[in-house]
Formats: sequence, C-alpha cells, structure tokens
Amino acid sequence: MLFRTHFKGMVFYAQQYIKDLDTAREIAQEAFIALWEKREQIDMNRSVRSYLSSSIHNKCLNVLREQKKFDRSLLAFEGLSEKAADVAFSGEHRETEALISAAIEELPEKCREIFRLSRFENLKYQQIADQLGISVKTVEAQMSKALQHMRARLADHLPALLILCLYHLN
Amino acid sequence: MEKDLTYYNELIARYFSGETSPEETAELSLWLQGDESRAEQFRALHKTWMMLEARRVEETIQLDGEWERLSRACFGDDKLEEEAKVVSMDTGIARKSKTVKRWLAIAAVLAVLLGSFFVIRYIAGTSQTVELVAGTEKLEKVLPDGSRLTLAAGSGFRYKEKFDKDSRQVSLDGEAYFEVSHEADRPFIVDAGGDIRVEVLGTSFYVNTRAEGACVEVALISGKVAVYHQQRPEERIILAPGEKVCCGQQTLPAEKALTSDQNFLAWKTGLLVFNDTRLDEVVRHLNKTYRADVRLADPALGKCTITATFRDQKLESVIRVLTETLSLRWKKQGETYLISGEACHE
Repeated sequence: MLFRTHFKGMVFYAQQYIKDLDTAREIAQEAFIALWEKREQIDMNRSVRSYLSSSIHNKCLNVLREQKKFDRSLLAFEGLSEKAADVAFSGEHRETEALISAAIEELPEKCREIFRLSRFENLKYQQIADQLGISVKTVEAQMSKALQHMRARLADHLPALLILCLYHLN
Repeated sequence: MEKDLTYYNELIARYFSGETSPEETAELSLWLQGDESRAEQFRALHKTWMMLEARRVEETIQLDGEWERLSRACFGDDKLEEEAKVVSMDTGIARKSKTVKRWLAIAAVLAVLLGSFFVIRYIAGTSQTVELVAGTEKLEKVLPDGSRLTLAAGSGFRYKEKFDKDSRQVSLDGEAYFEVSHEADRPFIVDAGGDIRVEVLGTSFYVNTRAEGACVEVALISGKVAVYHQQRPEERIILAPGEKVCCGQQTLPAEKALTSDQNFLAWKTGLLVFNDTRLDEVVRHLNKTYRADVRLADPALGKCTITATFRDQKLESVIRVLTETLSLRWKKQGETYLISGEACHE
C-alpha cells in the first residue's frame, strides 16, 4: 500500500531538513493529505513519489524559513535527497541496524543514557539536563562524543550506504 | 580567538539535534564554507547521523497510528473508509466511489435543510426557555447536558435551560452543527420545523432549516440518527455514517443517499473544497458560506469548472483566485460581487 511503502521514508526525508521528529511527522502527514486531495490530477503510478517528496521539500523549506534556519549552503553540504530516504527503508539494512545497536551499547553509560533520551525519548537538551540534574553544556558535550563514536564505528559502512544511494539514483 | 574543533563538533551535533539558534545555524554554515576538510568532516558526521535517524524513524513511527491520523484527516473516520469500500464494490464504479468515499467521510454530521419560511414551533415551557440568535458571526455554546452547539450566522436556536428527564428537546431555525453527548435514556431531539424531528442517538451532527428544496437534509459521519415526522414516528429512517437523507414537510424521508459534498459545513470549518466544480455551483456555495451576493454577469460562465481548496479565506481573496485561475474579471458594486469575462470552452 502506498502509505505503508512511503510514509516512513517521507518522515525521514522531512526529518533531514527539520531535525525535529514531531514536526517531520506533521509535514509527512500534510503531504499525504495534499496528495489525497489532489489524487484526481496525479498519475498515481508514476509520479506519486516525486509528488510527495517535492511537496515535503517545499514544506520543509518553508518551515526552515519560518524558523529562520534556512541556509542553502548548509543544506547543500548535507546533500539531502529523498533517494537516501528510500535506501534507508529498503530493508537492506538489517546488518547496519545490528551494528548501530552494538555501537550504541558501546557508549559509556552516561553518554548512552543522554543519547537515548535525546534520540529515542525525543527530549530536548534542556529536558535531558533537567531530568539528569546536569548542565546543558554536559549534554552537548556528551552528544557530540556519542556522534564521534558512532562515526568511528560506522565509518566502514558509510561507503556501502553511499553506493546504494548511487545505485538507486540510476 | 578561533573557536576550537570541540566547539564545532558540539555545534554540529546540536545542529543535527535541532538545537541550534538561527545565528548558530548561520555560524556553522559559514565555518563550513571554503574549507574542504571541514566540509568532509561535516558530511561524514551527517551520514552517520542520518543512519541513526533512519533507525529512529523506523523504530518510533507507528504506521497504524499514523494511518489512523491520516484517515481521520482525509476521510473523517476509519470506519467510513470500510463502508465506502463496500459501496464501491456495490456500484462497481471505482472512479466515482473514490469521490464518494471522500465526501462520505468528511461529513461527520447531520444536515437538516428546510425551507426558510419555516417558523420555529417551540413546545417548551415559558421562563426557562433560552433563545440564541447568531448575528453576523457563528456562535458556539455548550448546552446544559454538555452537548456542543455551533450555530451558523443568522440562525436561531431554542432550548430549555433544564432539559426534561426523558428527552432533550431543542428547536432550530437555520443551520447548526451539534456534538451531542451520549445519553441512551434521554434522546436529543431537534425540532426542525413543522413536525419534522431529528432524533439523535449520541453523535455529532449538523442541521439547517433553510436550505434549498424545502427539505431537511441529514448527513452523518459517526453514530446514529433517526429522522421522522412527529405524527408518524414509526416511519423513521435511521442513518448510518456517510449517509444523508432529504425529508420534506409532506413527504416521507426519501431514499438514503451518500453525502457528496462537504462544503455545507464550510461556515463552521472554514474549509471550501472544489473539485472540478462548475462555477455556478461554486458561486452558490460562496453565497451561502459567506452570506454574500456573488453573481455571474453571464450564465454561460457557470460552465467553467475549478478545482481548488480554500481554508479560512476572505471572500475577496477567494474571488480573486477564482477569477485569476479562469482568466475572468470581477468588480464590487455595493455589496455585490460581479464576475464577468469570456465563457469557458469545453
């Protein structure tokens, strides 16, 4: 089904821009609603995905502009693409998932807890600091540390991901 | 003094977490520009982060819940979709049923449309009767039993300050939308003029006693309602979600039909949806929704069709969009908006 196939990918695509999962979900929802409203005009088989992603792209840029965080060159550095979203949800990444879990496990306890609260409990840095009774500065430092660790552990697999992206582009 | 790498690594992590201010975002962007090794570093971290995010989306997004949310927005109710599917199988007109499904769903309401000449006949006691009249704006009110009423501009409504023990009787002259609190042993009964009654068995619904065709139209999304003549309560018609019915003063409740138009609720929702709709039809909706006087200079213009959605728009901006889309002109003369131009070709 269209929704099941595309929804997570579209949330992920929006998330790349917005960096706030709840907003990304809203944007993906809106894109699907808009798709529903315009379904008569769209060739459902051919252009549905490009319709969804361009609608998400536009919505995201609007949100970023509203938040005054729109920065074209920064987005260019990130090289965002809905193709990457597809790859991430093509189901070919079971191994990397295990790898990610392992990498998270390897983090020092405090760092892991902070990382978990931020990424999986969806808490803001300030909320984490309050909850753990530490400073925001500490949260920032630990998050950065977690990211560096992840990068080191996952570095080998990044090219694989990239190749997949290129493969899908063709 | 140059900030050190640790600072920027933290800034990057914060940026990915959505925790940077606009200034910091700009600062990061500036730091990256023109330095390939920094950009390289950033890209590697970005890819790592995105892998993590992909997993996070995978784990935290509940498709069933999201689907439910989406269907509520698109169809009004999940169940409606099920019903609509049945309908489409019955009729076998796939294309049509799609449209039907949509309309079906959006109307979580009961619309009772009656000729404007009806006068409220209210049975209630004297001193306790409350009379509401909505002036130029819609009026929202919580009734004594907790039910919610949205009364359209220019409509009148009466109810007893204290409902009876065995029924909740109200009467309406005009248009209203109800969300009725469920009380199985105390039905909510709307006197819709004459002896037409709409009995609600716990749901949300909409009533208009002043629609065209001198009939009471009832459309329902969820719950259950019954429409009948007070004199012949046994000949009632019970509606299921997505169905509507038209009931005249002298006629029995007619065949049930599927709701095909959500715009009758536009005055409440602020949402007007036109889908390949003829311009004369659009104008009719505008006049009703905005209580305005929009006219076509040439009836042939009515043939033009338009597809558009307007949400909480002022009448004038709606007209501007319509006329620009169809390459027509408009002008305002007193309170009348006149649309003119070349008629559309098929």
